[in-house]
Amino acid sequence: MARRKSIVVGTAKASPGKWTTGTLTLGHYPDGPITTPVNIACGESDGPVLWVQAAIHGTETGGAIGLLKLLKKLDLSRMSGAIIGVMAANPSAFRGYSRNTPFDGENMNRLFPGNPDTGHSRQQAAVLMETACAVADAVMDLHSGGDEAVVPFYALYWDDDSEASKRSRELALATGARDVWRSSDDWLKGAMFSNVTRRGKPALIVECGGGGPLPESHVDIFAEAVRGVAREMGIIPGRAKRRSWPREMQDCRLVFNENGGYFLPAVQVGAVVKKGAVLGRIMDPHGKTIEEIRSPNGPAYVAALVRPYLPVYSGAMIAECISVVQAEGRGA
Amino acid sequence: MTKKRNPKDLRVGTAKAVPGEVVRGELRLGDYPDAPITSPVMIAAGRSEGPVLWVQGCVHGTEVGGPLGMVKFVSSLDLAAVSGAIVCVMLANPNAFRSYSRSTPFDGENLNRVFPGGRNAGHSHQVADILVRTARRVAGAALDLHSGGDRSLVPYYALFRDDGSDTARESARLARAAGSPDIWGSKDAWLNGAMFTHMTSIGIPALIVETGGGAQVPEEHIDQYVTAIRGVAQAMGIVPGTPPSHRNYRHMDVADLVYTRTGGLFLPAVQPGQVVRKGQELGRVVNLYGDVVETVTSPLGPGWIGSIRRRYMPVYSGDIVSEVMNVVEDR
Repeated sequence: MARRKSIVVGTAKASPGKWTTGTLTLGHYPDGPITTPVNIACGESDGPVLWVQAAIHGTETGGAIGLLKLLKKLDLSRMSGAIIGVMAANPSAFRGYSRNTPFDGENMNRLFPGNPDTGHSRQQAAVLMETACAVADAVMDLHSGGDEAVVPFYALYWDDDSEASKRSRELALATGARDVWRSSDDWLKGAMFSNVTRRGKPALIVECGGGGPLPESHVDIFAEAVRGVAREMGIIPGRAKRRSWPREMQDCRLVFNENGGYFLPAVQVGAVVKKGAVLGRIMDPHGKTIEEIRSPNGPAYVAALVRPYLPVYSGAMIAECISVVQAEGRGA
Repeated sequence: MTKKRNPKDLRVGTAKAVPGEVVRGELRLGDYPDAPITSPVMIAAGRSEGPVLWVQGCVHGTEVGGPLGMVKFVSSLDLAAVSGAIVCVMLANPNAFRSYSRSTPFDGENLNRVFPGGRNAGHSHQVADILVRTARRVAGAALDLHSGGDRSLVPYYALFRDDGSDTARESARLARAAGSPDIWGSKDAWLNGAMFTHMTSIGIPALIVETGGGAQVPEEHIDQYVTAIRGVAQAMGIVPGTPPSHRNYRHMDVADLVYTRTGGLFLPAVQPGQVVRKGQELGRVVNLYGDVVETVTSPLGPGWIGSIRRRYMPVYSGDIVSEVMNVVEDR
């Protein structure tokens, strides 16, 4: 891992043994800059740098809160290197409390590496990408199901057999997650973690919770996942708690409905289902079941599911089902 | 005594009551540029004449527990034992429901602040006008189902307009039948534009029942709506049986809305339904550097927490994070 003397992100400048704060400009309102708060927790001694970001989808706030909880517990005198916290990676979506960027309707985690010569969300993506790759040795992006869906706790990395990808897998295991998705899915080629990996640096996503409430147990999961990755990188002393043989998945199928109504789930997130298993039902306003939603693959891990009784339109993304390629506790 | 109607003469939009049956239809509440804006309607009619209860949900589009409670209630009814009818207007603000927003997306209005509405006014005012005219034509009483939506949590309680009239006294009786021991007899000026306030002023008993929110609809909350509808219908004599009652009720009269002055993430310090002292901490606002930037306190006491913003919800300055009601008689 690289060692460096100066770590600067926007107006936040790291200082050995201190927690410093600042802002990173990601774009501009008509009357001023669009900024995200930045925290840098810097150890007394040099070492690797971990970039942690949250709320690239504006309603997925658990990661930011988990990161804050971890930062408050850190003993900086025993740390080597630094953890950079980019607290609202899509500030206008966070402020508008929406998944996508309100200005242009874009899902920001589908258009990396971004481009300064195109639209707003792509410009923001380019700033994040270039800033992270310039300063960090690894990138960790914290997500959840937001308000409308529920996801289990799992880690996700880009599986392209590169050295960065292999290191990403090690970091994914260090999160403590039982379930790891090794993705090579076309629809995630525009995500930040896949682009950072292709740029030659390890990167991963951690997902947990959503569906409205944010229990403290989910905040703790995010905090411990960041701690585990920082340990694996040698920033925080101690060994990461990792599973020897996690459940591994690849090839995620997105599941859509054809009718509008209230969604009633039939399974829990994190369950493994057979192909054709009923994932849930659509109920019309009069109480009649008008559609059954089934898993298109199997055995499949239910990685996301719309929350109970949420009104949905036709073509809503009801579930994510990822094919299980290695069951938990079994060697390859 | 609420006037009786013969169910076969009852019609709401395209739904025409049939004695002993549940019928479906639509009530037109406005128009899109290319099509009508309608609410699904169900009428559950008994075989014999009796009073008519108007039940509506989703005046605020994210408060979906009410319509789910209506569906569950209607499916549990023995229509042979019903006298009169229950009219269910499932989506009183269809446009807000479809957009899944509290207010009406077209005009940004909070529909429950613009009653009685008017024909020569903006979209939400026109929706309010149709709801009032239709309910007034058919109903002996009106029950409006609400929750805290996605962003706030509310306890299970009933709310009526206490203007000292005979209609208000009947509304209070129906509120006590709604299953909750907590009753807000509102005298608040900021609720002058609510539907229940207007219905009371024109002589039709009316109430709101609230429960839940926080982006969750557990079965317990759906059952509370069912209890409320059944209890009010029993108190009106539409459904047989004795409505639920409590030995003691907690009564509130006015509510203070509590606003933040800063932005950040909200950490509540109290639970919905809790009684607090004046000046007691209701919650804190924490910024994204982890600093507590504001402590929000109760403006009155003893105060009953009628709503509280959900844990870790992002808030802006001037956000309503709580409603605290003045307790005039505790249990």
